Amino acid sequence: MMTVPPRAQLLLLLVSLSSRMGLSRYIEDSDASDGLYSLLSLEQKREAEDFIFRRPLRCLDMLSTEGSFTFGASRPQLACATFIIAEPNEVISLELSDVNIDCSAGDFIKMFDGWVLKGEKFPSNQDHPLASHQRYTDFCSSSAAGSTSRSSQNVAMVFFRIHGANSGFTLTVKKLHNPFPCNIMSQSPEGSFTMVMPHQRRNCSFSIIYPVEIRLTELSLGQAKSNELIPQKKVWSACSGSGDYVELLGGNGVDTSHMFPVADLCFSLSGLAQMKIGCDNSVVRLVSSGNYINRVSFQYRLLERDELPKASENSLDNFCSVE
Amino acid sequence: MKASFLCFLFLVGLMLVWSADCRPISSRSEMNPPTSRLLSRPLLLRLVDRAKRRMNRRSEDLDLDLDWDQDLDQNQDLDQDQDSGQDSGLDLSLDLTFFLLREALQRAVSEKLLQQVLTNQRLMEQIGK
Repeated sequence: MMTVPPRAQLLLLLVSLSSRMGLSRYIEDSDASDGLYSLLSLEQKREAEDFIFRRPLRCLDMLSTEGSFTFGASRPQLACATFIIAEPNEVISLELSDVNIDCSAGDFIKMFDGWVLKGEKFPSNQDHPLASHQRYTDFCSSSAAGSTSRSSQNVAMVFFRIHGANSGFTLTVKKLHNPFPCNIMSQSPEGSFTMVMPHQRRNCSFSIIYPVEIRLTELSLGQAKSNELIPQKKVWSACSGSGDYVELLGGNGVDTSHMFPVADLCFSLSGLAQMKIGCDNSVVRLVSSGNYINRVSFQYRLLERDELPKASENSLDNFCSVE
Repeated sequence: MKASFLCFLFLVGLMLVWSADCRPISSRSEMNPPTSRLLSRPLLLRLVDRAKRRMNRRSEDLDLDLDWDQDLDQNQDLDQDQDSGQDSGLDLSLDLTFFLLREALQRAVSEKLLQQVLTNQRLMEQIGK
């Protein structure tokens, strides 16, 4: 008979004791997005979620965090605006509370679905699902319905005018997940993104308010709805007549319909295509007919001063340089 | 000269580490802590304070007196009460340069990162309980 060595006996005893005491654990299948939250108890999670970031709101302000922002007028403020920006895959929910303004005296608070800069709107009227007047939510028109608003993309604005001192309001910003983002304003001059448009007849723009070099790393156009085999699309001249294509735009405003197309692609791409756009605003725009699933991936980085393309002698005066 | 400068940096680093004091952060974040606590703060909180001061300076630069860039119909009164269901004819806009917009955007992103740092500190404190 084979004898068991003393060490093995001891190990076997320890394993047996451990199993009886129930020291074995299983790994919880927690959502990857929980992160550190997965280590908290239910009460601790509730306490963490109850915390709301608060700070005063300035007359001209930019917000990229959720929270509660209170504006109090120490003197008449006749032209104020708050820009709000979220992550590309988020939309913004705005709520007004503790509003103390005199609408009859000309005070107003208006929330806008998008950004407006120098008379130009982002997204443009062509690319936004709502009509221009529907993008404004006026608190003074209806205090109940006019106190909440939800954006269609990752940017929103609040305009307000307050005549009386000691008037004010509180703006609560929340972010909501958007699974298929369309019309995005980038928070940074460098990064990467993939735009997907599944069988929707929409035009989507990714706007970068910096001069950048854009590299298209993947472009997939024209994946049909049915399973029938469809030949690979050929190169089309200037993409005219093509229902699905990607165009690169450059300009000095935020309205993509006022920007200059510097390149367009209407065939699927597996290699690299890059372009330097030395404009204040550089845009990747995906035009979709709704017949296919379209996908474009790209990277972008800030152009340094010495990298900005030099404008040629015969270029238009009001067009920024492209290379 | 170079060696003495490196020695100086090393001594500064030693002093910062020596004065570190790992105290739990209160659940309500203080934006402006009392000066008497600064000497005993961990290095990370000192960096957070420095970032906050930089952001406050940037915010003062953006306190501008702006005016509306309006697209008004000829006989439209600015104070006229508008029906939100109709085309108001009053498109509000600010005449803000891209430079100022980018400055504001960078400040907002810095504020977001700062808030993430403070949130992580609170979470780590909760986990440590």
